[in-house]
Order: sequence, then C-alpha cells, then structure tokens
Amino acid sequence: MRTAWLRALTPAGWVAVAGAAVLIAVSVAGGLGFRWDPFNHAERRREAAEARADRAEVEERTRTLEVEGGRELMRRREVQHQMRVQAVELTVAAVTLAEEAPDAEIPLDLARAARLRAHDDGLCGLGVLDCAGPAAHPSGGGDPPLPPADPAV
Amino acid sequence: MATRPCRLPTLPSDPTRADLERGYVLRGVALVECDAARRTALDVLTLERDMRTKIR
Repeated sequence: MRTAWLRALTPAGWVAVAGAAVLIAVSVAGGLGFRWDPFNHAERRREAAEARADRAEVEERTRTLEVEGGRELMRRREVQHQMRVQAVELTVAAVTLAEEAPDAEIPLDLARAARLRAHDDGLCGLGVLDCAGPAAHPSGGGDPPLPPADPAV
Repeated sequence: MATRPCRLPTLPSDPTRADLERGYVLRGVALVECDAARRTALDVLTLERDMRTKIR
C-alpha cells in the first residue's frame, strides 16, 4: 500500500513533498535555535547598534559637559565683572579727588612731562598697546567703558 | 575683549598735576581691565581643554 502511494505521486507531487519536507526541516531547526546566516548579518547589525549606542552616549556626555562648562564660564565672568565694577568705582573716587586737589591745575614741570611722554612713546612704539591718547574720566568720556557681563567673548 | 590690545592712558598736551595723578590711577584700572580680558580668554581655553579631556 505504501509503495502504491509512492507510485501514485506525479513529478509535481514529488516537488510538493520535497518542499514540504524542507519547510518542516527549517521550522524544526529554527525551533531548536539554528539560524541560517551565512553572511553574518545578525552580528553586523549588533555591532552597528552598539556603535550607535556608543555615539549617542558620547554626544549626551558632550552636551552635559558643554552645559556645565557654560555655567562655570558665566560664573567666572560674573566674578570678573564685579571686580571690574569695583575697580572703576575706586578709580572714579581717586580721579575726583585728584581733580579737586588744591594743586590740580598747576602745570606739570615741562622736563618731567617730557620724560613721561618719552617713556610712553617708547612703550607705545613696541606696538602691543592701545595708546589712544590721554586718559579721560573713568565714569565716562573717552575712557574705555565698563563692558557688561556678556556671555559672548 | 582679549583680542584688543591693553590700553595705556597717556598724558595730554600741557599736563597738570591732576593729569599726572589721573593718568596714574587710570593705568591701574586699565591693568584690571586688561587682566580681566586675559582671564576670560584663559578660562575659555582651560574649560574647553578640560571638556575635551573628560570626553575622551
């Protein structure tokens, strides 16, 4: 009877039986944990996912450090700004006293003025300083204004 | 700020004693200004370097 069943199969039937056998074999192998991956795609996908995760971690860490660095920079700049405000206040008071002194309008000795000017000329000749001219009152005028605590350098 | 040269207040023509005194104290505040600019630039540089070191 078994032989008769086999003899009854047509070529198309044999193909169907072979296909079914292959499907069953693949299903059983898959169920047992076997994977058909001759080009190692799964490993490559895993490595790519790990690389993406590493990059994301570095980017997140970079952002955190940038925020922390920005805050620290602002804190230091605020300290410097306060220091400069105090320096200007001290200078305004000193300049006011100088201008109100009894001898304020007495001309400086010509020889002394010439010596000082020659020294200034020497320093300015080095080319590294801003020798824009006479000092004005620190509270305003031509003197450099007190810069605000601006985050932009 | 740190890209600008430090300011050196100088005497005006026909200076008085008040000009001498004013110039003296203004050079002090100019020094503070210049040092603040230097510190700011240095802070930016060191913070950036620290950040790069921590990222590695």
